[in-house]
Amino acid sequence: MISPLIVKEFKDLIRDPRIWIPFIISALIMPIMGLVIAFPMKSAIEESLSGLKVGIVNLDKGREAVGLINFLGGSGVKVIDLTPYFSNTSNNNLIINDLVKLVKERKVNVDAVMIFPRAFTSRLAMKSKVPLVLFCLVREVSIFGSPKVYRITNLVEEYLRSRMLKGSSLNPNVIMNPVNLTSITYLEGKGILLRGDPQVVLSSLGFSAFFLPLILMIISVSVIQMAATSTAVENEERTLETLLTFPLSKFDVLLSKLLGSFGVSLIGSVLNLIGFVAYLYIFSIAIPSQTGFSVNLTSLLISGKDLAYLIVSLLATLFFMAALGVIVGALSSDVRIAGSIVGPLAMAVFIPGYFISFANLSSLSPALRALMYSLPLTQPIALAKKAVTESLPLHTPIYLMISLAFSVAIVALTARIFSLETLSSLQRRLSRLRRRR
Amino acid sequence: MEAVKVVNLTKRFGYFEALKGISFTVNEGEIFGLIGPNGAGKTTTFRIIAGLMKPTSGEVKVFGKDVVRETKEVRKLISYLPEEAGAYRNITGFEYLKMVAEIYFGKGSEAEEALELGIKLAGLGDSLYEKMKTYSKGMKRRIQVARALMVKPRVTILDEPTVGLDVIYSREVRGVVKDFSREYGLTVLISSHNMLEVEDICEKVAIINEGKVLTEGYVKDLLSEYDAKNLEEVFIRLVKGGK
Ligand SMILES: Nc1ncnc2c1ncn2[C@@H]1O[C@H](COP(=O)(O)OP(=O)(O)OP(=O)(O)O)[C@@H](O)[C@H]1O
Ligand SMILES: [Mg+2]
Repeated sequence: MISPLIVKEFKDLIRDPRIWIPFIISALIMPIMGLVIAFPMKSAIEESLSGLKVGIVNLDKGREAVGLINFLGGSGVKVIDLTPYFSNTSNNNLIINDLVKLVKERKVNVDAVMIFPRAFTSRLAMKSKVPLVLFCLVREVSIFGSPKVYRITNLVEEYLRSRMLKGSSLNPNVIMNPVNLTSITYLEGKGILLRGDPQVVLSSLGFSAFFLPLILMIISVSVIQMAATSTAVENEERTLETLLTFPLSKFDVLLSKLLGSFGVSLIGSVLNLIGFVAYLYIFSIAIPSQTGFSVNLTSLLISGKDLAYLIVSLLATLFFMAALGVIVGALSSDVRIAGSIVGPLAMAVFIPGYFISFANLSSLSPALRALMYSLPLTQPIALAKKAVTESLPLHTPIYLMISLAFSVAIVALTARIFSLETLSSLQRRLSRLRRRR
Repeated sequence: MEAVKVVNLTKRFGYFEALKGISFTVNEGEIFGLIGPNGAGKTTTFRIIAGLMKPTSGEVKVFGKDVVRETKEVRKLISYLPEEAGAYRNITGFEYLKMVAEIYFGKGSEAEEALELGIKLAGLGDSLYEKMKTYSKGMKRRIQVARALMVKPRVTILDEPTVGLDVIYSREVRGVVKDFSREYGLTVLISSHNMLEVEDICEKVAIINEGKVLTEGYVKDLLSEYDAKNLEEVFIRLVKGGK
């Protein structure tokens, strides 16, 4: 009768705040992360389109300089004339030094300053390259810092282009974009045609390939942690000895522990998944065009059968992680020791998965590739990569069986060493080792 | 009938010999006490009988079944209360008893009977439905004693059942064990380093020290043989005489 024990494991875990709080936190972190990234991004884009303040130092005073200044003003840029500050110099370096002083003394408040040298109008009249100095002020470091400056240079180029082409029959728009390009991407492995630039398509695919290992990592770490904690607690609170005298085999005891933590981790994984979907959703509201595209694309590209395989593979990996956690917990005399082993172990366990998410699978030798498809640590990531660009290999069911067999083997192996005697002597040796240090 | 038979049992931990050839016999229906000072080897002996540890040499039989070769059968005959038995923090006492009943008997009338007996033996009232992390040491011990007895094992092994309990609680637990054994005719093995307590509950004892049995027999016989007022005196005489 193993089911009462599984029920107990499940209840004991799910009622422990130390277990479920991390799940809730990691599930909440994702949508919050979405908010944190998406809204500054959105406001940065919006902000860059309005209220730009540009100072002007006009040493040229010619017709074209005035024309450009008016053009900027007409395009919604607030223009502030700073020329009076620089009436007796024409050296750019001196002007910049003085500008720095002005900014430091807070006499001017602008986003950028444009310096028109004396030759501006005459050079433009000769239709040769026009000198112009743009002095940009950066007040804050942000990933989205540059759009403001882009906007100024775009306006300047637009004006100059139209001035230079004046009198000719050329259309400035055609000069800028001489090709009307339609890109079509063909995914060879899947035989699918997609409208769009391969760069855009691949980066959206890469986006999901990047997030899968990340989610897997978050969930796995909490599964290892949970299984280790719940097993170590049996040692710490001295309940293991009783458990081992019940009319159950050691394999049964371990298996209930595994299934209990596995069940709870499933709930945790669902929470995490909801968090991830919320993250994507927030992202797609804030920046509609790009993210929505990638999500739809991914779901379009993976077939139902492949998706089912992927889910089985993920579950097998979670099961494996729970087994690892149980081993760690069983060998630890208390929760603290288990925790200090789990941290580095979780890192180490992820090195292969990390490797796979960056490696080019097709360049590996066939044996190594088969191994990557079979190991619980690498399998879901390798399969996901394959599933997104191609279909899953024909042997996928075999790979899944190997992964599950691997986990069961680990459990059986643990059951063999899982006796009070080996555990107590191991723990004695461990504590002696620590005392010596 | 012989319920437990231990013959020439030894146990080595590395170079340290914890048990140096222990022998004793417990008949069915008896309450047997294994007494001796700290580190004498009581817990080690009990763990071997319960199948938690393997003996280095010697033989242990429970109702004729060998604990090493027939561990599974032996497990069904015995129930064991470890010296330090903790409680699951987030499980209630009731849930715990129910789980144990179901592990032994599945779901059915037998399990319900066991659960009922367990509730009676624990005698915790409404606290039974609270999480065990709120229990005092005494309450945890009572749950454990109830858990061990309620499945009515042919042999119950209690390693210091009254450790950490106050005088009144210990008396109560002793009373429960005594009544239980008498009522169902079941065999109980108890260890203790409190010799006076053992006198109160056991009819037969073995005194062990440093992994060796110093003497074994019925309490009455030992007292008259060593001309002592109580078992403590017997023990002191044995230890001094040995040196
Ligand atoms: N796993 C182990 N490894 C090494 N030595 C052990 C181990 N378990 C017990 N011992 C040693 O064996 C001896 C007997 O221990 P045991 O626990 O059986 O004594 P005890 O009679 O139950 O004592 P107490 O009254 O303190 O509970 C002690 O010296 C102890 O240190
Ligand atoms: Mg002991």
